[in-house]
Amino acid sequence: MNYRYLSIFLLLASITLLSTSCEKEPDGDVVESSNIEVRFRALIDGQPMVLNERYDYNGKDFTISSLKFYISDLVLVKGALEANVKEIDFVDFGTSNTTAQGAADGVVVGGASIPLGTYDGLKFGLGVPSDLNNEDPTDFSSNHPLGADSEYWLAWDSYIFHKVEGRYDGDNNANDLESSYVYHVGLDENFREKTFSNLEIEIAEDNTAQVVIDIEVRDLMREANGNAFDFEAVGNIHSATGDGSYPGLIADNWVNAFSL
Amino acid sequence: MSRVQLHIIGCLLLGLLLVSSCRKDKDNGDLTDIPYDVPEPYNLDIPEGFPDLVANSDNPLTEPGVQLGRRLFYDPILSADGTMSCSSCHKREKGFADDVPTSLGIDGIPGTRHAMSLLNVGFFENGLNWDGSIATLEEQAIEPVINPVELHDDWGNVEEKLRNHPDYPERFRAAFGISNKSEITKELATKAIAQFEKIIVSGGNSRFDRALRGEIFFTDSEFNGYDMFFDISPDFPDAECGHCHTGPLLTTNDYFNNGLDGVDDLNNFEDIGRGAVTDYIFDNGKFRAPSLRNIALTAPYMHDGRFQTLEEVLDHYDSGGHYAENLDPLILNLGLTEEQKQDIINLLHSFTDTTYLENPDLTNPF
Repeated sequence: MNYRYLSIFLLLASITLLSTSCEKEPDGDVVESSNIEVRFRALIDGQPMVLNERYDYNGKDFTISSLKFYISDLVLVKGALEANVKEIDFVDFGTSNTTAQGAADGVVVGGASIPLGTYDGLKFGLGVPSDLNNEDPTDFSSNHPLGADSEYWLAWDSYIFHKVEGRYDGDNNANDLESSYVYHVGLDENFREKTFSNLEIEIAEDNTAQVVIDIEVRDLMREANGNAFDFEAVGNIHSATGDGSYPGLIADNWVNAFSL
Repeated sequence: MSRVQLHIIGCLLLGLLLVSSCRKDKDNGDLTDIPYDVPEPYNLDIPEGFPDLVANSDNPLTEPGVQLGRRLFYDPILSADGTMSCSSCHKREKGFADDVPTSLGIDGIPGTRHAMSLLNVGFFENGLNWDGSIATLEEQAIEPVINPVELHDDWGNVEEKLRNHPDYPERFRAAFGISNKSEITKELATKAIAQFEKIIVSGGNSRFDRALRGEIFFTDSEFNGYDMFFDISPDFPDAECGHCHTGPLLTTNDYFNNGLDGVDDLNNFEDIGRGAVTDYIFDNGKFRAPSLRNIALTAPYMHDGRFQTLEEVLDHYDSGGHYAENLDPLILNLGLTEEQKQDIINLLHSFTDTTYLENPDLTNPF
């Protein structure tokens, strides 16, 4: 082999070595994951619900002044596999639904580093799971979803899993909304899970997947037979001991109010 | 004149020149001849269960910073006529609040809102003042000095007074390491005041705290009040207090319309409160739910100091308040008996913890 052939050989060997090493990197170093945004929208009769706007309720005016809930263990499902999106988060429509545009946008719960692939399901807990519900806000920093004193009820030793509050026209004179309703539910026994299946959620490289989940607010306030609550009779559900089956019913209503 | 005499005169002239040059340095505000050490951190004793102080990495608590802030807080040098200080309206023995509905400034003009208690103010998230209009204590301390109905000075003048003061320049150097009097600014003055305000901490030794820790028992009346305050059992009415006043600070740090004024139109509140900050009409007439720690010390009550006693406060909440479309849904006609109201008042008294009065760092240094 003369010097010229040796040089060509070495050059080809170097190129081969380099290209082999380039091929190896994707196997070991490229992160095969991407992001997802789960957008929650609160609706009234299928339209974005604006806080404090007057809507009709059985022929009377009513408003929703507060709507918020804890979401936990949000996961994407692929067969028997689950990909964690968010352990715990707090969805407060007070941060978005004060305007029509904000109501249309809703509240986003984001997740990162989701393994790439096509997922066929999504599920989450509605409320705070018992292990975290054994804690209280002093165990968390103030910017943590579980760090808010306002969302914890001392007498229950529990977070308030969800709140719906507002006013209504009790005397039907249309001038003012002199009456109010408040539905606060907590305690482990009222924790619920929501599962959506038969989906096709694509987590692809360089793309943030979008999922929109709607909540029909009217469905939060229904008796077991489907009739709307009579605010006069079911106006203030808060006491853990004095409200009978309503906390559990409202927790079930929340599960049924979600749709994709 | 001999050469020796000339030499002596020359030395004297040189000495005079040196002395003169030294004096010039002092006139120029140079402080570098004052020894400077990195300030010692201030060790704040935070009651168990309290949150962390609202973080401000730009203004850590230091011993000289706190002591400087303490002096500024109590010193009428911050007012135009030298008659009032921060402490004039935030009285230590009144839980660092004022004992009149709205305070009078140096010109005898009343403000529009009650001077809030500063107890535990360093822990408050979600804005300061009754309307949350200010984000940090450092920013907050700017305003009262220049407000025409408060100290009615201007910061340029105050800065000059501090620079020319016989004591403050050295304290500013110790606190912030400045090398010249000209570096004394409103930003540093308010940082120091904020540091002092952050050490105004109270809690952990009230009857309420001790009862929750199991060290003492509530009286029967206090316990009944506790039951109603936090809706413990169906044996008593739910007084709905714990929705806004809970957690270690007995406040959620949020803003509510608690039914003080009835309006047909949300634009008609005399003081729109939070609405002026958020520009959201349904926030009109909302004000901060204050901490109830030491509430028995901080009368009068509400943002305008309209209620002189806790009895008046209880009567208001029991009534269900006045109507506005954004009246908080939890302001309800409670139907409490006089005995039940007194039980809640007794619970409110159990929130009193006067051990802060024994903290020498909170006293007037003058």
